[in-house]
Amino acid sequence: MTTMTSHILVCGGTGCNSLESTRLVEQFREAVTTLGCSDDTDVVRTGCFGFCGEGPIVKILPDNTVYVRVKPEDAQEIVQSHILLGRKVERLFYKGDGDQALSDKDMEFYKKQKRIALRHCGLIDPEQIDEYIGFEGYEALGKVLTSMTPEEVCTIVKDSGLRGRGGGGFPTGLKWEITNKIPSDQKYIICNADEGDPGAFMDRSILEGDPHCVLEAMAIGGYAIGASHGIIYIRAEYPLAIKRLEIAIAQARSYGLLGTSIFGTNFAFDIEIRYGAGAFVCGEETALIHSVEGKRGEPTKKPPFPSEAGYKGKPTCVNNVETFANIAPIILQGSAWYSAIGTATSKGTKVFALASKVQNVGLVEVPMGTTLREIIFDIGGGIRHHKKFKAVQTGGPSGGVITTADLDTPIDYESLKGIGSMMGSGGMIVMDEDDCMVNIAKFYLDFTQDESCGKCTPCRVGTKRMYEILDRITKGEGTLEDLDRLEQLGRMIKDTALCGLGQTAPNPVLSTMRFFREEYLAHIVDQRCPTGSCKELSKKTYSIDASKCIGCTACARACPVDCIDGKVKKVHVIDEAICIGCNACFTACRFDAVIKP
Amino acid sequence: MIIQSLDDLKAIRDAQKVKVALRSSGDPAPDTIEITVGMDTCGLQAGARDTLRAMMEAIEAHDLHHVRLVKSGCMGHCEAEPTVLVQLPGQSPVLYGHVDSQLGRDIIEHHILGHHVLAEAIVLDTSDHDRRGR
Ligand SMILES: Cc1cc2nc3c(=O)[nH]c(=O)nc-3n(C[C@H](O)[C@H](O)[C@H](O)COP(=O)(O)O)c2cc1C
Ligand code: SF4
Repeated sequence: MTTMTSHILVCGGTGCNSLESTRLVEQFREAVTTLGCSDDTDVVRTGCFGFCGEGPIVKILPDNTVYVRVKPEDAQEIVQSHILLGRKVERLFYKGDGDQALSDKDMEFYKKQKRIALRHCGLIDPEQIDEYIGFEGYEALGKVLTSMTPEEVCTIVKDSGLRGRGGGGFPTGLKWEITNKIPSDQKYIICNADEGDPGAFMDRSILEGDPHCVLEAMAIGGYAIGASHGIIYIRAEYPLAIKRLEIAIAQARSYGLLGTSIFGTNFAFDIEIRYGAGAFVCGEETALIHSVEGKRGEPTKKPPFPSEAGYKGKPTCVNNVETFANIAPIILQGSAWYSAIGTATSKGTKVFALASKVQNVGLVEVPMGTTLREIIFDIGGGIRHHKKFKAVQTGGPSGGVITTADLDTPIDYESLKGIGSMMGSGGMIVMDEDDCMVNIAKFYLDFTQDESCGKCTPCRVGTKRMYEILDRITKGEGTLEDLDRLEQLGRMIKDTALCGLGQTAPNPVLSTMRFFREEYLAHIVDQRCPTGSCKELSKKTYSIDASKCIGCTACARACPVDCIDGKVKKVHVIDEAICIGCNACFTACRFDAVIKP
Repeated sequence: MIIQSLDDLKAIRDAQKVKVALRSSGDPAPDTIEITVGMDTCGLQAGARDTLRAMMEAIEAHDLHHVRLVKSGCMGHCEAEPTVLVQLPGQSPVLYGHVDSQLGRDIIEHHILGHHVLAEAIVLDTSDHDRRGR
């Protein structure tokens, strides 16, 4: 056997892939071949490292060097210099705050993280089942089938304190136990990989980086509840995840880890993939089941819960991708180990997708009970361009904004609810001083009114009316009564909508109205958008401060509609009639001469 | 192949052991022994690749999980290449010179496993700053 003395791990997640990481892998393979070290250097295409904002990421083992923003052209140099000569390519180091970090252990981004669900992401080649097995893969399944009863499996998961990561937070072991106890000739276990929350990509990354961990957990769950049939419901917009799942299922079948008499026992289990068209409501479990059945993706009322009458009317257990990703470690390391992590009511870790104005956009996994400040500022590196933090939205379109005052809340399911938001699936949209809260609320309502399935009136009509009111306010046409109307409508929709989509849709509006009421008032009373984001309101008011303008022409060159007039070294003037309020001149001016409304 | 038992699974896992050890060593435990092989032009010229490979094989043969083999640039003793730096936790590093494949294996067997230093091959022992270049 040849011995690999170096490993080049290249991120093959969707983010890095869009930045040519596929070509990068090819270049690395070519470089190790032409430079004659292909027999002792392994080039591995892994799942997501989480540090997406700095991608493509390359990690060299065993010395644990992390390179960021690596281009295909850099492959040759890395192999030549680092692999062959042991000289690190310093120009490709991550330079967060000026100081150079060499290994991921030194990077703030990884220091506070604890990786359970993402344990193999960025470590193994997701297309090689042997690598997964090398890292204890399928041992939990083997252990369960050869030495535990289904009831014991439910108990260990229950004792671990694991709760559903799809948003609801229902105890997973309990759900398994309930489904286990209902007698039926056939039962089903479904993996919910719909992930419709805008800005979230936790589930996608797990499926892309470690598909086998989901397959293994589904088989364990199938054994626990008494199902021989598993279904993965995934949106067709995730082609890479689908491809890796297909490969993984084929490999697991060829090893007999899916199929009949698994591990020589009489347990039979197989998995099929079903594709969703990417509707947010199809992530709701009853709508999802209907969609799998080939019907319209509309929710139905609960009860009956899927655990009683789900797919084809049979007891069905629906669990989220990340929930499944926690199962094997719990089986192997025990419920006590797992329940020692986290807070009193929420155990283990949670994966968050950090997005928008934060420095380190990417995927982070932290123990429950970590504060938002730690996530955004220590791990996330704070706000980009040294702007001021304004708020963070958790729970996506179902959640609310959290302000500076609550940044030190240790996060778990209950505490987030307590401060007017929710855990949701793990999307975390960070907003800075330039973001208008009315506009944010409008963005989410635009999303929900569009995604509403239309089955019940409060949601179908109500969210549309709320959107229209918000739209009016952002155009300066709102009235003070509109605020009361929003509140009234919001409360009514929450109380009367059929499914979670409608019941939570008003949250972004209600929470921004609660924390940023003055911003709403500014739009209505002063006809002014404090951040200048609402174009209609900011339109008339961009101007140039004659005492500061030095006539550098930067603004005139930046203006997309040519409404800035002025000669070199002469004071410039904005033609307000043409100005569209795009803010380009404000950004372009280095002398603070553009006055923003 | 069909996996019929946990033993079958373990067989596949064992075949992956070296790979796993190297990947996981990215996260060094406190008792990790670090061995650095100088792999700059001077080292390579003198056969550092063979040394590295021999040491890797020896580590594998003895099933050592707590040893991390790292390549580095020139360590400044070009006259004594290939050079190998052995760093046991809590001890001062020892630099060996003229390490060919055989000496590489000896370092693993005697220094790492047997805890006795190969005095005659030492270029620099930082504990007594005694230069004994050969
Ligand atoms: C509108 C709506 C969208 C949802 N989208 C998802 C989703 O994308 N992924 C998911 O796992 N759960 C989603 N859920 C939650 C599911 O209904 C269900 O609770 C979850 O899949 C159960 O798995 P868990 O217990 O492992 O969290 C959604 C719920 C609602 C109301
Ligand atoms: S609340 Fe909205 S999404 Fe849910 S069933 Fe009613 S209309 Fe459909």
